[in-house]
Amino acid sequence: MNALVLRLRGDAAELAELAQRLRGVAAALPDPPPWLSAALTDHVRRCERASGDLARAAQELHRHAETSFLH
Amino acid sequence: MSGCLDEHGGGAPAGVAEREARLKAAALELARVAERIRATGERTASALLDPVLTRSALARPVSALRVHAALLQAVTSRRGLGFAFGGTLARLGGVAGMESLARQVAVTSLRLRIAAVALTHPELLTDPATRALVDAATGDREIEAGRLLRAMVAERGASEAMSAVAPIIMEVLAARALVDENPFNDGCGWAIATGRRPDAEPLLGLATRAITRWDRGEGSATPADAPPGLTTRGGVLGFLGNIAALGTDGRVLLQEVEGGRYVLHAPGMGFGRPINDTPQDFVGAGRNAMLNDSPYVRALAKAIRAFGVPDGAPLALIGHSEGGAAVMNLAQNPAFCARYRVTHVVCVGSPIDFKVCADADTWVASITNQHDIVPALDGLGTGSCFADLHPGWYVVDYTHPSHRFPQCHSIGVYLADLREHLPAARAHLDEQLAAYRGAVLRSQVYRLHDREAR
Repeated sequence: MNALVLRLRGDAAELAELAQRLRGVAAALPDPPPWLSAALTDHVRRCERASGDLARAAQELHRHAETSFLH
Repeated sequence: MSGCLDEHGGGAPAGVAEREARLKAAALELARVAERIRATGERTASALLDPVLTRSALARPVSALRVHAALLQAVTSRRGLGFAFGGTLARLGGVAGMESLARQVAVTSLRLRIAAVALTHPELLTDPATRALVDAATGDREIEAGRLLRAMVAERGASEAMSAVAPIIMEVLAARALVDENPFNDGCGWAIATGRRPDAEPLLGLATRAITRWDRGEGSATPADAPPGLTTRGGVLGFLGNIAALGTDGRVLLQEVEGGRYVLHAPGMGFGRPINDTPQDFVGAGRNAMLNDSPYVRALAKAIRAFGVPDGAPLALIGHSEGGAAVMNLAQNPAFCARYRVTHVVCVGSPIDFKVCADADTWVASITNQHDIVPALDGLGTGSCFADLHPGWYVVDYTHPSHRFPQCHSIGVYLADLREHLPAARAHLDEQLAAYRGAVLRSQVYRLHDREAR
């Protein structure tokens, strides 16, 4: 396993954590205006999607590393 | 204007203050999240060029291609990070109108800051023109934002149009910088959105050092005649009255008061030519706001030496506008503070949020009108959610419905406001400056120039 795979996995986890923090912002604001609710919902969805994208990239890299001299 | 004691023209209702604090806390959290998303995206994008990965592609091209495809998907997906590259590629993406999740989160943070300010300035969102301008500026509709601003200026005049958006001007400019196609102002937009000192201006992205390069010189101070109306006793109104009497033609004042204490009075920028032979000009104002040294600062130090202020003597520095930024630059100079004991700094209408005194014991007061754009020129205005920069400062960030910019920036209006509308702030300032309220024993006006006479 090389450092790049670990970094990508770490960043994927970080994005998932940031999605949680965005949910926390939404929860901390009672009666948010519609534009804010829409924006935060979109940010959370994109953050989760980005987390998945990075996790997939880490997985591909891990497979690649196992079959090459990377590991 | 952080660490702020707000004086909202008599005080805002407690519920409003609580909602404002909640919105600003949310804005701060979003700013921090935006920064981390941005860093994550840039790290991921840099993996595409990882040298070990590139070398391994020679041995296993098919699986390496799959890795690159997955990474590329991660840093370009419009449903994920968006266009997440940093550096030159980020600029090219900006030109091409590519958006990123990090920027969108930063813009939401800025919109929350605007919403927080609007609680005490409801006209920002109830006035259809201002609301439309905010929506356009934060929604990547740059041409429409420009058209709306021109229409406001034509309809209401420049003064009223600027006054209308003054309390949120930095948030609007930062949002515009983040979403427009100009790649050169992105860094400034990020700096304002995340509470760091910008190194460029937000409209075009001109670098601070490029703007201020015309403000050069070793600074000089020569004795000059005193104007009429200088005070003979200390006190904040007297000190600010002195600054009003000096005008903005390059003159500063030093006074020795009873008890071996000294007071420096530094006026702000003079209107007229943007570059003149005194430090009180437009380029000097920009330099003092954004950088830590200037001809004004060097000339002030020379005036203090010429007045014969003894080493170790207690010194109060009073400045308006650019003068406030210049005296803060003196106060954050370790060599200056090793020589003199800067006990107090009082800045009125000055952009000083990113300045830090060399002596932690120096007491700092910042008085700003929320309709005054000048104090926000360092990137932090009324909507700032970064309240932890200077928790020890005494900050009065007040508003008054009749104020108009640029009139509200004048020393005369600040003087009148402290006299008539801010009695508690005035009393507190006088209490803090009690040691400097004795009789004036000696006064000398100095005329400052950027350079020594040849």
